[in-house]
Amino acid sequence: MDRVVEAEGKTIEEAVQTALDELSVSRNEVEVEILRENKKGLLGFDKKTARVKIIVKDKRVVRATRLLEKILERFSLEADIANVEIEGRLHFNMEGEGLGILIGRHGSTLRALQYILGIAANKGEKTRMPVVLDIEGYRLRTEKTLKELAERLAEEAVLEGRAISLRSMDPFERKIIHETLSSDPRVQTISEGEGSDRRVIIHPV
Amino acid sequence: MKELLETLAQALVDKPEDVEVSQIEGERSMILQLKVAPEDVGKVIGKEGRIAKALRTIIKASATKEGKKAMVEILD
Repeated sequence: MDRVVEAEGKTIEEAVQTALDELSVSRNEVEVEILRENKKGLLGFDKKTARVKIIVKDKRVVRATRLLEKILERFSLEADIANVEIEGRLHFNMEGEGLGILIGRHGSTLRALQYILGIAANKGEKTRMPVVLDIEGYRLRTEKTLKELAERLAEEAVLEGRAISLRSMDPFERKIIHETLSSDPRVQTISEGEGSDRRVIIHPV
Repeated sequence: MKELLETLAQALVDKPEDVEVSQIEGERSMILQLKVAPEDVGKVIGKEGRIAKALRTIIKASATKEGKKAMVEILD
Protein backbone atom coordinates (compact mmCIF):
# COMPACT_ATOMS: atom_id res chain seq x y z
CA MET A 1 0.00 0.00 0.00
CA ASP A 2 1.21 3.53 -0.74
CA ARG A 3 2.14 5.84 2.12
CA VAL A 4 1.43 9.55 1.96
CA VAL A 5 3.05 12.34 3.98
CA GLU A 6 3.17 16.10 3.72
CA ALA A 7 6.17 18.30 4.47
CA GLU A 8 7.17 21.96 4.49
CA GLY A 9 10.40 23.78 3.71
CA LYS A 10 11.88 27.06 2.58
CA THR A 11 12.05 25.68 -0.92
CA ILE A 12 10.37 22.76 -2.65
CA GLU A 13 13.64 20.83 -2.70
CA GLU A 14 14.07 21.38 1.02
CA ALA A 15 10.54 20.21 1.77
CA VAL A 16 11.06 17.09 -0.33
CA GLN A 17 14.39 16.36 1.35
CA THR A 18 12.89 16.76 4.82
CA ALA A 19 10.21 14.22 3.97
CA LEU A 20 12.68 11.81 2.40
CA ASP A 21 14.94 11.98 5.45
CA GLU A 22 12.04 11.41 7.77
CA LEU A 23 10.82 8.40 5.80
CA SER A 24 14.36 7.20 4.96
CA VAL A 25 13.54 6.55 1.34
CA SER A 26 15.27 7.78 -1.81
CA ARG A 27 13.93 10.23 -4.37
CA ASN A 28 13.20 7.60 -7.02
CA GLU A 29 10.92 5.69 -4.67
CA VAL A 30 8.45 8.52 -4.32
CA GLU A 31 6.12 10.73 -6.25
CA VAL A 32 6.02 14.40 -5.39
CA GLU A 33 3.01 16.63 -5.58
CA ILE A 34 3.51 20.33 -5.01
CA LEU A 35 0.79 21.70 -2.76
CA ARG A 36 2.18 25.24 -2.44
CA GLU A 37 5.17 27.04 -3.91
CA ASN A 38 7.41 29.02 -1.62
CA LYS A 39 7.21 32.82 -1.76
CA LYS A 40 9.91 35.21 -0.63
CA GLY A 41 7.51 37.95 0.37
CA LEU A 42 8.31 41.60 0.90
CA LEU A 43 10.38 42.54 3.93
CA GLY A 44 9.31 39.37 5.62
CA PHE A 45 5.64 39.92 4.97
CA ASP A 46 3.54 37.48 3.02
CA LYS A 47 6.38 34.97 3.17
CA LYS A 48 5.31 31.42 2.45
CA THR A 49 7.00 28.10 2.86
CA ALA A 50 6.77 25.42 0.23
CA ARG A 51 4.48 22.53 0.95
CA VAL A 52 4.69 19.15 -0.76
CA LYS A 53 2.91 15.88 -0.64
CA ILE A 54 5.09 12.81 -0.86
CA ILE A 55 3.66 9.52 -1.99
CA VAL A 56 5.83 6.54 -1.18
CA LYS A 57 5.02 3.94 -3.76
CA ASP A 58 4.60 0.39 -2.57
CA LYS A 59 7.92 -1.35 -3.19
CA ARG A 60 6.16 -4.28 -4.81
CA VAL A 61 4.43 -1.98 -7.26
CA VAL A 62 7.70 -0.21 -8.02
CA ARG A 63 9.55 -3.48 -8.63
CA ALA A 64 6.77 -4.97 -10.74
CA THR A 65 6.29 -1.82 -12.82
CA ARG A 66 10.01 -1.53 -13.44
CA LEU A 67 10.21 -5.14 -14.57
CA LEU A 68 7.20 -4.80 -16.88
CA GLU A 69 8.70 -1.68 -18.43
CA LYS A 70 11.96 -3.50 -19.08
CA ILE A 71 10.19 -6.53 -20.55
CA LEU A 72 8.20 -4.29 -22.89
CA GLU A 73 11.42 -2.60 -23.95
CA ARG A 74 13.05 -5.97 -24.69
CA PHE A 75 10.09 -6.93 -26.84
CA SER A 76 10.20 -3.47 -28.52
CA LEU A 77 6.64 -2.88 -27.38
CA GLU A 78 4.95 0.11 -25.86
CA ALA A 79 2.10 -0.05 -23.41
CA ASP A 80 0.39 1.79 -20.63
CA ILE A 81 0.74 0.01 -17.32
CA ALA A 82 -2.00 0.51 -14.76
CA ASN A 83 -2.12 -1.03 -11.32
CA VAL A 84 -4.71 -1.34 -8.63
CA GLU A 85 -4.89 -3.22 -5.36
CA ILE A 86 -8.02 -5.30 -4.85
CA GLU A 87 -8.63 -7.57 -1.87
CA GLY A 88 -4.97 -7.97 -1.04
CA ARG A 89 -3.96 -8.62 -4.62
CA LEU A 90 -1.95 -6.45 -6.93
CA HIS A 91 -3.55 -6.21 -10.33
CA PHE A 92 -1.62 -4.94 -13.31
CA ASN A 93 -3.11 -4.31 -16.71
CA MET A 94 -1.25 -3.38 -19.85
CA GLU A 95 -2.85 -1.68 -22.83
CA GLY A 96 -1.06 -1.14 -26.09
CA GLU A 97 -0.52 -2.33 -29.61
CA GLY A 98 0.81 -5.75 -30.52
CA LEU A 99 0.66 -7.10 -26.99
CA GLY A 100 -0.84 -10.40 -28.18
CA ILE A 101 2.66 -11.85 -28.28
CA LEU A 102 2.80 -11.45 -24.49
CA ILE A 103 -0.43 -13.40 -24.08
CA GLY A 104 0.53 -16.44 -26.11
CA ARG A 105 -1.48 -19.57 -26.80
CA HIS A 106 -4.32 -19.94 -24.28
CA GLY A 107 -2.58 -17.21 -22.29
CA SER A 108 0.50 -19.36 -21.62
CA THR A 109 2.97 -16.48 -21.98
CA LEU A 110 0.77 -14.22 -19.88
CA ARG A 111 0.73 -16.85 -17.12
CA ALA A 112 4.51 -17.23 -17.28
CA LEU A 113 4.93 -13.45 -17.08
CA GLN A 114 2.52 -13.24 -14.16
CA TYR A 115 4.39 -15.97 -12.32
CA ILE A 116 7.79 -14.27 -12.74
CA LEU A 117 6.28 -10.87 -11.93
CA GLY A 118 4.78 -12.21 -8.69
CA ILE A 119 8.12 -13.58 -7.52
CA ALA A 120 10.07 -10.49 -8.56
CA ALA A 121 7.57 -8.08 -6.97
CA ASN A 122 7.63 -9.91 -3.63
CA LYS A 123 11.38 -10.34 -3.49
CA GLY A 124 12.70 -9.52 -0.04
CA GLU A 125 9.22 -8.96 1.43
CA LYS A 126 8.14 -10.81 4.56
CA THR A 127 4.61 -11.35 3.33
CA ARG A 128 3.70 -12.42 -0.16
CA MET A 129 1.10 -10.50 -2.07
CA PRO A 130 -0.41 -12.27 -5.06
CA VAL A 131 0.11 -10.49 -8.35
CA VAL A 132 -2.37 -10.66 -11.21
CA LEU A 133 -1.26 -9.59 -14.65
CA ASP A 134 -3.71 -8.84 -17.40
CA ILE A 135 -3.23 -7.63 -20.95
CA GLU A 136 -6.00 -5.67 -22.63
CA GLY A 137 -8.55 -7.29 -20.34
CA TYR A 138 -7.71 -10.76 -21.67
CA ARG A 139 -8.30 -12.35 -18.28
CA LEU A 140 -11.61 -10.58 -17.88
CA ARG A 141 -12.77 -11.96 -21.20
CA THR A 142 -11.52 -15.45 -20.45
CA GLU A 143 -13.33 -15.31 -17.11
CA LYS A 144 -16.63 -15.33 -18.97
CA THR A 145 -15.46 -18.14 -21.24
CA LEU A 146 -14.27 -20.13 -18.22
CA LYS A 147 -17.61 -19.76 -16.47
CA GLU A 148 -19.43 -21.03 -19.52
CA LEU A 149 -16.97 -23.88 -19.90
CA ALA A 150 -17.41 -24.85 -16.24
CA GLU A 151 -21.18 -24.89 -16.54
CA ARG A 152 -21.13 -26.92 -19.74
CA LEU A 153 -18.72 -29.52 -18.39
CA ALA A 154 -20.62 -29.79 -15.09
CA GLU A 155 -23.71 -30.58 -17.12
CA GLU A 156 -21.77 -33.24 -18.99
CA ALA A 157 -20.34 -34.73 -15.81
CA VAL A 158 -23.83 -35.04 -14.32
CA LEU A 159 -25.43 -36.48 -17.44
CA GLU A 160 -22.68 -39.00 -18.11
CA GLY A 161 -22.10 -39.74 -14.44
CA ARG A 162 -18.32 -39.48 -14.73
CA ALA A 163 -15.57 -37.15 -13.54
CA ILE A 164 -14.34 -34.64 -16.11
CA SER A 165 -10.88 -33.13 -16.07
CA LEU A 166 -10.26 -29.62 -17.37
CA ARG A 167 -7.06 -28.40 -19.01
CA SER A 168 -4.27 -27.20 -16.73
CA MET A 169 -4.91 -23.75 -15.32
CA ASP A 170 -3.29 -21.16 -13.13
CA PRO A 171 -4.65 -20.43 -9.62
CA PHE A 172 -6.89 -17.58 -10.79
CA GLU A 173 -8.45 -19.62 -13.56
CA ARG A 174 -9.03 -22.54 -11.20
CA LYS A 175 -10.62 -20.23 -8.68
CA ILE A 176 -13.14 -19.11 -11.31
CA ILE A 177 -14.07 -22.75 -12.03
CA HIS A 178 -14.42 -23.58 -8.31
CA GLU A 179 -16.50 -20.49 -7.63
CA THR A 180 -18.75 -20.97 -10.64
CA LEU A 181 -19.61 -24.51 -9.60
CA SER A 182 -19.70 -24.00 -5.82
CA SER A 183 -23.43 -23.25 -6.05
CA ASP A 184 -24.16 -26.36 -8.11
CA PRO A 185 -25.08 -29.12 -5.62
CA ARG A 186 -24.83 -31.83 -8.28
CA VAL A 187 -21.06 -31.56 -8.64
CA GLN A 188 -17.91 -31.18 -6.61
CA THR A 189 -14.69 -29.62 -7.90
CA ILE A 190 -11.23 -30.71 -6.83
CA SER A 191 -7.81 -29.48 -8.03
CA GLU A 192 -5.27 -32.15 -8.82
CA GLY A 193 -1.70 -32.21 -10.08
CA GLU A 194 1.32 -30.08 -9.35
CA GLY A 195 2.57 -26.72 -10.57
CA SER A 196 1.65 -25.72 -14.07
CA ASP A 197 -0.04 -29.09 -14.61
CA ARG A 198 -2.55 -28.46 -11.86
CA ARG A 199 -6.13 -28.81 -13.12
CA VAL A 200 -9.68 -28.94 -11.85
CA ILE A 201 -11.64 -32.18 -11.92
CA ILE A 202 -15.42 -31.98 -11.87
CA HIS A 203 -16.93 -34.91 -9.96
CA PRO A 204 -20.63 -35.68 -10.06
CA VAL A 205 -21.89 -36.09 -6.48
CA MET B 1 16.77 -12.20 -26.50
CA LYS B 2 19.91 -12.27 -24.42
CA GLU B 3 18.92 -8.98 -22.79
CA LEU B 4 15.42 -10.24 -22.07
CA LEU B 5 16.72 -13.28 -20.22
CA GLU B 6 19.18 -11.08 -18.34
CA THR B 7 16.37 -8.73 -17.32
CA LEU B 8 14.17 -11.55 -16.07
CA ALA B 9 16.96 -13.33 -14.22
CA GLN B 10 18.18 -10.13 -12.59
CA ALA B 11 14.70 -9.50 -11.21
CA LEU B 12 14.70 -12.91 -9.52
CA VAL B 13 18.14 -13.28 -7.97
CA ASP B 14 19.84 -11.73 -4.97
CA LYS B 15 23.00 -10.95 -6.92
CA PRO B 16 21.88 -9.36 -10.19
CA GLU B 17 25.43 -8.27 -10.93
CA ASP B 18 26.42 -11.93 -11.26
CA VAL B 19 23.87 -12.71 -13.97
CA GLU B 20 25.50 -13.64 -17.25
CA VAL B 21 23.87 -14.80 -20.43
CA SER B 22 25.77 -16.08 -23.42
CA GLN B 23 24.11 -16.56 -26.72
CA ILE B 24 25.10 -19.31 -29.13
CA GLU B 25 23.53 -18.47 -32.43
CA GLY B 26 22.56 -20.99 -35.09
CA GLU B 27 20.83 -20.33 -38.36
CA ARG B 28 17.31 -21.00 -37.18
CA SER B 29 17.80 -21.58 -33.51
CA MET B 30 19.84 -20.28 -30.66
CA ILE B 31 20.94 -21.42 -27.27
CA LEU B 32 20.93 -19.07 -24.33
CA GLN B 33 23.12 -20.08 -21.46
CA LEU B 34 22.21 -18.50 -18.15
CA LYS B 35 24.76 -18.26 -15.40
CA VAL B 36 23.97 -16.89 -11.93
CA ALA B 37 25.72 -16.86 -8.56
CA PRO B 38 25.80 -20.40 -7.06
CA GLU B 39 23.42 -19.41 -4.25
CA ASP B 40 20.97 -18.00 -6.80
CA VAL B 41 20.62 -21.10 -8.98
CA GLY B 42 17.49 -22.20 -7.13
CA LYS B 43 15.93 -18.79 -7.73
CA VAL B 44 16.00 -19.20 -11.50
CA ILE B 45 14.95 -22.86 -11.44
CA GLY B 46 12.26 -22.85 -8.78
CA LYS B 47 10.30 -25.64 -7.18
CA GLU B 48 10.04 -28.48 -9.68
CA GLY B 49 11.62 -26.25 -12.29
CA ARG B 50 8.61 -23.94 -12.38
CA ILE B 51 10.57 -20.70 -12.71
CA ALA B 52 12.83 -22.16 -15.39
CA LYS B 53 9.76 -23.26 -17.29
CA ALA B 54 8.20 -19.79 -17.10
CA LEU B 55 11.49 -18.24 -18.28
CA ARG B 56 11.56 -20.63 -21.23
CA THR B 57 7.97 -19.76 -22.14
CA ILE B 58 8.74 -16.04 -22.20
CA ILE B 59 11.96 -16.52 -24.20
CA LYS B 60 10.08 -18.73 -26.64
CA ALA B 61 7.56 -15.92 -27.22
CA SER B 62 10.37 -13.50 -27.93
CA ALA B 63 12.08 -15.99 -30.28
CA THR B 64 8.83 -16.57 -32.16
CA LYS B 65 8.66 -12.85 -32.80
CA GLU B 66 12.03 -13.09 -34.50
CA GLY B 67 11.06 -16.27 -36.32
CA LYS B 68 13.54 -18.36 -34.41
CA LYS B 69 13.71 -21.17 -31.93
CA ALA B 70 15.45 -20.59 -28.65
CA MET B 71 16.65 -22.92 -25.95
CA VAL B 72 17.51 -21.89 -22.43
CA GLU B 73 20.17 -23.71 -20.50
CA ILE B 74 20.84 -22.97 -16.88
CA LEU B 75 24.45 -23.56 -15.93
CA ASP B 76 25.36 -24.59 -12.42
